[in-house]
Amino acid sequence: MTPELEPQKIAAQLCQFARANFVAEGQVFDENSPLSKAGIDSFALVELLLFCERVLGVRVPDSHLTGANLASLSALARCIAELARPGAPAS
Amino acid sequence: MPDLPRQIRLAAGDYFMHAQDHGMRQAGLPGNVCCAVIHLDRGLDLDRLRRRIAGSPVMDWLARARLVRPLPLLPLVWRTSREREAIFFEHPDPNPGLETPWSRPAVVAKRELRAERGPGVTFDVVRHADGSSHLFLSWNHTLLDAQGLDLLLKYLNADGAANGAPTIEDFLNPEQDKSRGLAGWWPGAKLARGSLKWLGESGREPLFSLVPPEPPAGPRRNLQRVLRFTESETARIEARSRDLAAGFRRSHFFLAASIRALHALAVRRGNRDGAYLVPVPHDTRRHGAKGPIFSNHLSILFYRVEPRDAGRIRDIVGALSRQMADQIRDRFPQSCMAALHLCQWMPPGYYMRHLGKPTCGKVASLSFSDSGELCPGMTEWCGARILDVTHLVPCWRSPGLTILFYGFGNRLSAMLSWVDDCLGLVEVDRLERDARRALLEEEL
Repeated sequence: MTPELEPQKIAAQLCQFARANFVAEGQVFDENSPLSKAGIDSFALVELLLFCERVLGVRVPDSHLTGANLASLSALARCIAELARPGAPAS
Repeated sequence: MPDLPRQIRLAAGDYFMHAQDHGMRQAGLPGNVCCAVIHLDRGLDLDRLRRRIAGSPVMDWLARARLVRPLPLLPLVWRTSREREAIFFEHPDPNPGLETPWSRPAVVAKRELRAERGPGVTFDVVRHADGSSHLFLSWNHTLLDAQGLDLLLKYLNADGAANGAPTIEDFLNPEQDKSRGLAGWWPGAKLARGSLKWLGESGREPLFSLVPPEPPAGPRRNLQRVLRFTESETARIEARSRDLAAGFRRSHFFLAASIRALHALAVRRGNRDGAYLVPVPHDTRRHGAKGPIFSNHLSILFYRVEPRDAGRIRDIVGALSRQMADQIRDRFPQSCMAALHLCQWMPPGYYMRHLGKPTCGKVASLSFSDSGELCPGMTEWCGARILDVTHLVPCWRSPGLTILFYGFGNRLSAMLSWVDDCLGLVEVDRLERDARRALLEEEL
């Protein structure tokens, strides 16, 4: 699997997954919504990370699960894109 | 709103709650009945509340719903009775002049809310001399979960059809009422195998249990204590949670603190190698959804923490995070729910024995739940400002101890609920002290 490298495309995929699984219809939610206010709890976060592993081929190590990287799906997508670069330590 | 169906199938979580209710009553405990205590300031509009309860199709359905088994070996269903029982009661202040913050009237505490006889939900209002009120909303857990209660409160608070009248989908998950038929049995059985195998393997290793090995001698009592944290303590706990668990694993931090406190108690009881097995329910509704109000919409993760990892919060959080990822990857929650679903044809007593088999009847070392914020976004209810909310939950035997975390406003609370022959008062005092320390103090 060739990992996706563009943060915007990754963010769009994450957003689609979150909308389909965690966020109710009619709720305002996009790539820049704060994750903590969008119903992303520990369970949803793990589902999101497993989705990254399965579909994007990138494993996000615990050391990267910082407040900054989990601020929004855009921030998480930037982190994933960074990890997906060839030669990145945890990809 | 169109008519609600006269008959509704139970969700897998409902049957589990009903079997617990049955097991608790057999052990002489009050049933699986929860109570939300809502302290309101002087503005409560009782007429408006009475009108909302009397005129609401959802409340009408809840007041008439009875659990019936149509035929032996067929799963139980909810069916509405022609009789609508009273569900709204007013009481004089039980402690006029006393400074106790609140006291549940004996009539409320003793009322039996049986799913088979109904009603499964009641509202009791106590008006105090200063004009403030307490609303005691009691419900049999078979009917609703904590999130359903929040949604029910929101629905009752919304006046008028245009403002918050739910659709049938808001009341009931349509998937729940779809017939699965025999064709779904074999895939369900295959899916259920994973969680039963895991529990069986877990049960073969030593497990710590608070429950005495001998059956209870006579009726037991369910006791409760609420640990309240101030706003500054809550902020400290939140900060520790962020440091240890990157913010999103708040529940892991609370569970880790609970397990560390239980471990200290277990060590005092001489436990050396008994691991701590903790099932944790997770609400499956989507964020911001208006429903479903009715039924228990949960999935379950099981954590097993070895005593060697149970002395430090950081180690416990690490173990919980690893296990959570592994279990979600292995579809453990789906497997667990499939197992609960398959067993619905069993009578409740046999059902509980069957579910307890893999762990040799121990089932769990601790029952834990994090309800999150109670009444989120609600500042007033039926014209009165909400001053405080307390969530009282029953404790099952086994495990004999339940710890529930919940928040209201900017304050965190933890409720300890235990069975009197499983824990002594001195042990509960120590458990409280250890839990506070685990939540608030840095560890070395």
